[in-house]
Amino acid sequence: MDPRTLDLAAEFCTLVGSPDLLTYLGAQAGDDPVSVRAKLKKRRKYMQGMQGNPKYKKEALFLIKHFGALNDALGNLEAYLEDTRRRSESEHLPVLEMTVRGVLAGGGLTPEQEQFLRHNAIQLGISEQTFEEILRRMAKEAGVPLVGGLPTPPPAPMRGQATDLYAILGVDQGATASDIAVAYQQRRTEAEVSGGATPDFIRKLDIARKVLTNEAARQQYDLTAARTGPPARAREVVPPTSRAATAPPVQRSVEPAVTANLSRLEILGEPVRLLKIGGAGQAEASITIRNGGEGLMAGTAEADVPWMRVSPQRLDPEAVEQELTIRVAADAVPDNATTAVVTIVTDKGERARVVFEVQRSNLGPILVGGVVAGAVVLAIAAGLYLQFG
Amino acid sequence: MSDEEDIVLGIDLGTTFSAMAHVNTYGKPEIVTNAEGFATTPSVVHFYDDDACVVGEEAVKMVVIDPENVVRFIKRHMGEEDFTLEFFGRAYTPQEISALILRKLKEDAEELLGKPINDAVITVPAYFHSAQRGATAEAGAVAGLNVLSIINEPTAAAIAYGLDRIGGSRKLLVLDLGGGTFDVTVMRIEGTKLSTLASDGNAELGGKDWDDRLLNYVAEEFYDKFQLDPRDDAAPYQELYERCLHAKISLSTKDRAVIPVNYRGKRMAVKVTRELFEDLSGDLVQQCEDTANIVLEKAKLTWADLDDVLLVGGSTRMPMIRNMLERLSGKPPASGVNPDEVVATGAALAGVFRHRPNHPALQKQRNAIKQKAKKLKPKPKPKPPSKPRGAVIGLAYGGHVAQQAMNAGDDDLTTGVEADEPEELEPETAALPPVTIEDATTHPLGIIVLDKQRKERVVELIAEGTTLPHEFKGRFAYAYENMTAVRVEVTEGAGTHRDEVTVIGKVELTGLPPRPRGTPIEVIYSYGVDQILNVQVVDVQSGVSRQVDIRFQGGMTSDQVDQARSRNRHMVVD
Repeated sequence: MDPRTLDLAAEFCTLVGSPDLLTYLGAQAGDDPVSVRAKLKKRRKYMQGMQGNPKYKKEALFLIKHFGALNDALGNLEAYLEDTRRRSESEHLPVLEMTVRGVLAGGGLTPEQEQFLRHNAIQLGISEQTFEEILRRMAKEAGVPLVGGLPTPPPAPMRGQATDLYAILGVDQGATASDIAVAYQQRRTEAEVSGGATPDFIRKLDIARKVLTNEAARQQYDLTAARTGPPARAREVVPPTSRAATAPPVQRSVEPAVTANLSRLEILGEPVRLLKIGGAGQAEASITIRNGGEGLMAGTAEADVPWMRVSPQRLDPEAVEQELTIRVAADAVPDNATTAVVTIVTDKGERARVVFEVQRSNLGPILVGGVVAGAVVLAIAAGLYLQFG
Repeated sequence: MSDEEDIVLGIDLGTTFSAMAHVNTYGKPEIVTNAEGFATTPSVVHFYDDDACVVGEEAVKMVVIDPENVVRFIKRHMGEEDFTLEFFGRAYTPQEISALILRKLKEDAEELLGKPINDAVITVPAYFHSAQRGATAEAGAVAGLNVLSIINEPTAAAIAYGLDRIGGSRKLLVLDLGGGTFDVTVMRIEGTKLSTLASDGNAELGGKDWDDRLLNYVAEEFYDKFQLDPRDDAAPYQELYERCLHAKISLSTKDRAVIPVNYRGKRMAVKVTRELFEDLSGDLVQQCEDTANIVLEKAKLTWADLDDVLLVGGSTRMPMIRNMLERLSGKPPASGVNPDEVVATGAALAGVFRHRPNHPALQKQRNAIKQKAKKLKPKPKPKPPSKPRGAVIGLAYGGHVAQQAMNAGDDDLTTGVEADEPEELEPETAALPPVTIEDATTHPLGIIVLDKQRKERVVELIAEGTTLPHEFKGRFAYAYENMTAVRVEVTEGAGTHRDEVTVIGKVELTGLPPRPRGTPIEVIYSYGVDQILNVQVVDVQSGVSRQVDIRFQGGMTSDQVDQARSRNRHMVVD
């Protein structure tokens, strides 16, 4: 079978959001290919009346233009289904691998994280067996020891390293904002007197002061530091491309050093996500947010582009965990749109952003490469070059 | 009958509606009504058998009954090679479907005018690329028409509008928002010369997009209430689409519209205010505004430099478009122009200017200009008509209604108009001034060459916006030792890489004696007003040359056109 045929069939299924053509046509794997093809033909005919329909336009045009390819793909059902299975794994494996790699960069894997990743893998259509293989392979790469075939949990948090913000300023975890301001000034003066005031050191001091005097940032820092050790390292290693999968939720078992009656905004999942637009009408996504503190959390959520709708726009102050739905009408998205940002702001001034990268299903005509056979012909074909200039 | 009196039918082949016009013996352009008596014909085809179809209003009616066998918006697919539709076991290309619309127009015009019609000028959006232009010409050929030229819609509109404004120097912005295409063109009228300064557009933006916004809104409202989506079934969708279309039209004159939805036994009336509609489609208006600004920038003009803003296409009736233009230009759009008819009228005029240089009306005007020059009269006074038949020819557009009435064959009404408006009878203006039309390219043309590193790249030879006719002459050289043949690949589109452009033709010079690297080769591109590119490749040393006319190809070979024509001829078109 022509690989282009299978490519088009796969592209079409992505467009209509169907796992394969048989499901799309309401047919079974054991059905007679003749009857399956008859269903496809009927569907095409029906879709001729849907070309102008904004909800089905892309589906209709694809069926009309590439009917031949889809029909060919259904000629050998076994080969087609095998190809579909291989595609779905190869499409999702890199995503899962990157997510696993990102988590293991924290130094290990907690049972909660493992459970989350496993769930994620199953959702991506990856078998548990394949998932465990990936886990072992990635653990080996990251140098995380295995226990019972699974990576061990991450080591306890380490304080006193270069990236420990408290250590940089020489204060303890209970330091107040004014303690920090005083400590900052002291460290800076000391360094300037001793000649150790390198720009790098000053920058570190500045960061430490900024993070630890901002309540929200400090809570987040405390939590992350408690979970994965030096946070800076983890952040450096997580590849930004792991955006399509959701990362493990922020763990709640560790009690952060917070005073009572404060809310704390937590976003579950990756800060950068993929929003697939293609085919029918609307694309949807969701953001799950959680109140990790104890007080009420009121606030708002909004997108920075007019074509993206967030609902609800006001957070439920009493909810511990709530889901925001993101809706985009495919037709409303301008052609040049690449990203949209949803910003969530609480009344305590905490702010979190989730970036959606817009990905369109590619429907454009694919150029068939016109390779000219033989070097001599090629020389003739391109046998001119600019004489001027 | 002499050739000069043969009718050139000007055809505006639109995405949603088509119109046609001709220039009568007195030099007056007239809209030709269809058999149903309307100035515009919906570009909709309904197939009811393997050799029979109906075009126009009747086909629109069938869309809610038999949506699978009705074709709309075929213009959006012109020039797409892999697009075919199937009806009663037969496949049709976009060219063939457009040809059915053209045949209906041609036959209706023949019936009304009582003469056979062979020659036509068909308009296309300025931003159509060569494959789309080629496909349009092919559609004409399939319909049995001799397509004399393909002309840009804004140019046609400017000709029709500018006809009674020639003599001075004016700059004109034409905003053409039709059912499915959009373009903006800046033109200059200088004496009797009309030229295109800049043009840009989007072949996939039109009134249909506004309809869809309304449709999506209504469908979502309905869904919110009943969890049923009327877009999910073909016939209810078509019915709702028709309703949204009409609601859109009434929102141009009214503040609110109600769209009734009846789907699977559930009923709902969705109210839409003009304000809401403008919110739903604000970004589309923004796109129009951006394009208009880009075109002005390309023409190196500002809004203040423009003398007129001309609105073309039914979608420009929407107040949001008018307001946007009024805000930008600081003046109301030109009035007295029927946006549905002005393109066809201009196409008919262009047909005479370009292809009937000895048309009696042109002769008459030449004489009139001579006489006027002698008398040095600033403004000719109205004179009684020399012939009673000439009476129905009014001034420019004031006479439209009268013409249509006459075309419908209602003699009483014609006489009535004659009696009512005697001051409009002016034989001198009824003659045609000889207008020169200078179109411009809307896509750059180039050539594929090798650079010094022998890497392929595209070099632009004729830039976008170049006034036609235009000739480019340039020297290139052998890239390799002992080459015996040279192939010139002509490209269309912006870009420096082969994948970014389209190769629209090839010219090969073979059998040359082997000579060293650097041997010069001359390449000449001449691009005529008829939108045909002549490419000549000359071996400078021996003088051997080869010329090829590159007509824009829509993807059909001449054999295929012939076959399609005979198929088309056997098709019953009602």
